Order: sequence, then C-alpha cells, then structure tokens
Amino acid sequence: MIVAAFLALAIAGALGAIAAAAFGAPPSAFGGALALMFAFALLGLVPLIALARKPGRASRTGWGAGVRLVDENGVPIPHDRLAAGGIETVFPQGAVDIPEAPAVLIRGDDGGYRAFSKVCTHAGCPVALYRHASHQLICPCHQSIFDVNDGAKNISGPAPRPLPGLALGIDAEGFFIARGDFDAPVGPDDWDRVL
Amino acid sequence: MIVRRTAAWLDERFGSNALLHAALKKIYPDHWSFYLGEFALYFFMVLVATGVWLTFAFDASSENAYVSVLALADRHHPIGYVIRQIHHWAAVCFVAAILVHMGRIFFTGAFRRPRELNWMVGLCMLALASFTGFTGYSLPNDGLSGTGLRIAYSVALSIPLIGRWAANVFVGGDDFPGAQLTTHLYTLHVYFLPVAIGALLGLHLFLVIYQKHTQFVPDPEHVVGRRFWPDYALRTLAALGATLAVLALLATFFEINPVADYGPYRTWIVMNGAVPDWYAAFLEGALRLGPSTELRIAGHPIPPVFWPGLVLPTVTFLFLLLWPTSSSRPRAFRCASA
Repeated sequence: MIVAAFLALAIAGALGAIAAAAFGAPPSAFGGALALMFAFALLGLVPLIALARKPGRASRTGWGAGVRLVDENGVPIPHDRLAAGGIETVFPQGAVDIPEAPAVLIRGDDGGYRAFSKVCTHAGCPVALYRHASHQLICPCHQSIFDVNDGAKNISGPAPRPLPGLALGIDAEGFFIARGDFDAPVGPDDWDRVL
Repeated sequence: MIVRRTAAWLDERFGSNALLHAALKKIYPDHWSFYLGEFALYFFMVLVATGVWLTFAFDASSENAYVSVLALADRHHPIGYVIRQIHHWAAVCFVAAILVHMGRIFFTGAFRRPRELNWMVGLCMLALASFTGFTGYSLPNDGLSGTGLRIAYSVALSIPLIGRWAANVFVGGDDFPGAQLTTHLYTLHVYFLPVAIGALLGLHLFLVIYQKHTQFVPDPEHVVGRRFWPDYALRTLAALGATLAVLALLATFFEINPVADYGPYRTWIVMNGAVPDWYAAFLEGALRLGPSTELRIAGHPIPPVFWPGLVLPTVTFLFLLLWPTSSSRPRAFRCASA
C-alpha cells in the first residue's frame, strides 16, 4: 500500500508539473510543482527505509532425500505407475499444499522416468501441457517450451532457464522417492535471488 | 405541479432557479460520437449498482471466496447469476467504452490546448478502470483468475531492488498465494479504485462543463447543439436505456466468466487457452512475445517478465499522458470557449 501511495503521489506530482508546463504557467508555478515533486521524492524514502529490513521469499519446496512422491490425494506412486509416454503431477508426501512443490513425473519412450518442477521459470504458471511425440513440456500461459529429453531445457518462448530437475529413486517397498531437493531454485527469479 | 412547487421550495432556500435554468438550457453537441463517453458513464453506474448487490453475498477470504461466488451466483440461482453476468459484461464494456471515447478525443484533436488536463484525467480513469476490472475478475479465486494473479505476483517480484517487498505487500505473505491476497483485492476493488474513479469522474465532468465541449463547426462565436431540455435529456435517457438493454441481453444469452466450469484455484492446475479479459490481453501477449534473456547486474537477476509486464505498460501510459504536450498547436476544430 505504501508503494501504491508513493506511486500515486509521484504521478500526482508529475501531473502537476506537466499541467503547469502544458498551461504555460509562470516560473513561480514551475517552482511550486518542482517543490511538490521534491516532497514526493522525500516520501519515497519511506519504502527505502522499509527495504532496510527486506522481507524474504519462501524457498521451501518440501522435497528432500527419501521423501516419497505422492499424487494430489496423497497416495504414493509405485514404480510401475506410468506407461511409456505417461505423465503425472506429483507432490512431496505430507506437503501437497506448498506452492513450490508440484512436479511432473514423466515416463519416456525408453522406459526411463524423469521428474521436473511444474512451476514455470518465466511467470510461475503450472507447466501443464505435455506433447509426447516431441517430448516437450509446454506452459499454457505464455507458450514456453521445455525439452524433456534434454534436462527440461528451455528451447522456445520467454522462459529464461530450464525447469529444475528432481533426482528419483525407488524405496524398499517399490515406491518413488526423491534423492534430494530440486537441482535449481523453483519458479521465476527475483532481484534478491543471487545465484 | 409537484415539480414546480419543489423547484420553488428549493429556490426559496438556495436561490437555485438560476442554476436550474442554466442547466436546462445548456447546449449539448449533436454528433453521435459525443455519446460514447456517456455510455462509459452509464456502464460505471451499472457497475456500482450491481457491485453493491454482489458485496452482500461475497465472502472476501481466500478460503471461502470461490464457494461464496458459486452459492451466490451459480446457474441455479438465476437472479444472482444474471447480476454477476451483468456486472462482468458491464466491466468489459466499461473499459471498451472509455477506449472508444478516447479514440474520438484523440482523432478529433479534442485533447489539445486548453483541454490537456482533462485528457490526462481521462487516461488515469482508463488505467484505474483496467485495475478495477482485473482486481474484480480475480476476486472469485477460480482456476483462471488465480493463474492471472500468479503471473501478476511474478511481475511484482521482477522489479529491481524492491521486487520481494512489492510482491509481499501485494499478497500479504512471503509466497503465493499469500493469506491476505483476496482481502487486499477486495479492498482495492470495492473501496479504493471505485472511489478514485468516482472522484476523477466528477473532475472530468466539471472540466467538460467548465471548458465546454469541442465542436466540429468552425464557429467560435456560437455553441452549436441542442438544449438539455427536452432534446438532449430524452436522447441521453435513450442512451441509458440502450445500455441497460444491451447488458441485459448479453448477460442472458452470452455467458461470460463461467467460474463454475473453471473450478477453484489450485497452484498446479491451469487450463489450456487461459487468457485474461480483453483489456489485459496486450500485456499477456507482450509476456508471450517478450525476451527470454535474464539480465544480471552484479549477480542480481532482472527477470524477463519485468520488460513486457511493467516497463511496457508504464511507458505506454506515460507516452499517452504526455502526448498533448507534443504540440502546442491549439485544436484544429474551433472550440466554443476559446
């Protein structure tokens, strides 16, 4: 809200200056407008002060070594769940609600399984379309395309980097487990995500 | 008789008859294109009326918003559903009417000196109307609009230096969807933005009356048009009636934003062909066409959504805002007040 208020004031100040210029106001009016804009710039210090204790960004994904893959109902995924070319949305067991958690489990034509983050690295939409014939994951929002056979590399569209991968294993009871967290940060980057 | 006595009663207390006479005699332009702005005004009035109705049943919490929209306005609740349909149709038509009205102002040069300020006021109302539309469209917390909010969150996050701060303020938490997101949207959509539009609308109409309409006829000495009573009053009432009729027909026969079909928002589900309401489509398209390169300044990323998502609309807005200053030439068509 403070940002919105600051922007509104800054726009008002700019409007004042523009109006003064547009109506050919005398220099004193210009001075007044400049003083106003200066006052608004001072108000800009408020968000800067707030920056001193900048809030964080949740980076918890729920994944880790030994965590079982489950479907949206919390049911674990057996290692023979998918046919070749099949795909399923999976979550870390007990953490279905974490926004950065969803992943896609894909079985390739070679029979091998792969898993990638389902959160697009562009704007955070779910990468929900899979084109089996060309082994591509496609984001329905902005049409970024990722090559599943090449580490979910971004091969087309506005996504800046590949989908993070999830190393898979199988536990003693035959269910899929993760062997660790995603191999890269999930979702779009921001200024404070220094890699 | 009643009208006369009321007028006399008011005049005795406020001396209002002179003002009333002036208002009834005021000349309004005749050309159809001058009614475009009135359609926008009437859409806004419909939005306020139906919007007040909708607030009585809407539950502005993230958990209950979707359920309350369904309970209020699913297809088994015909009146609630038609009201929500009218509200949504009026919203998309409101922005469209503002834009077409702006087209008349632009292409006839009516924004020129001395009316630059009113162009800027109108442009601010266009921006506010778009924000109001987007926040309202996002309130039901359905599968389509939730994805739109996720994108908006990513755009907020992409701002250099203050991205996390802006995104956290927006959603009320350090991840998406934050706990207070729907509450924030509700406050913006129901209080802040409509009141801002209403205030600017008052200023807009005051400036039009104070500076007088532009006119096509090159006659600086005379105001050309029709008097308010009876000619113009009946025409503008007809315009209001047409607005209501078209909205009723649209709402009845063409379903818009069927949130029951979209389902509630879940972070891992999105429809194919998910697109926003038309006035946000240029941003959506720009995000698709935008660059995939992520710049880095001393290791700090500037995500690619920053350029099409924030720089493009800001630059477009400022360009249009400053357009009247590009030429100090007065209006090509004479205006009555100049």
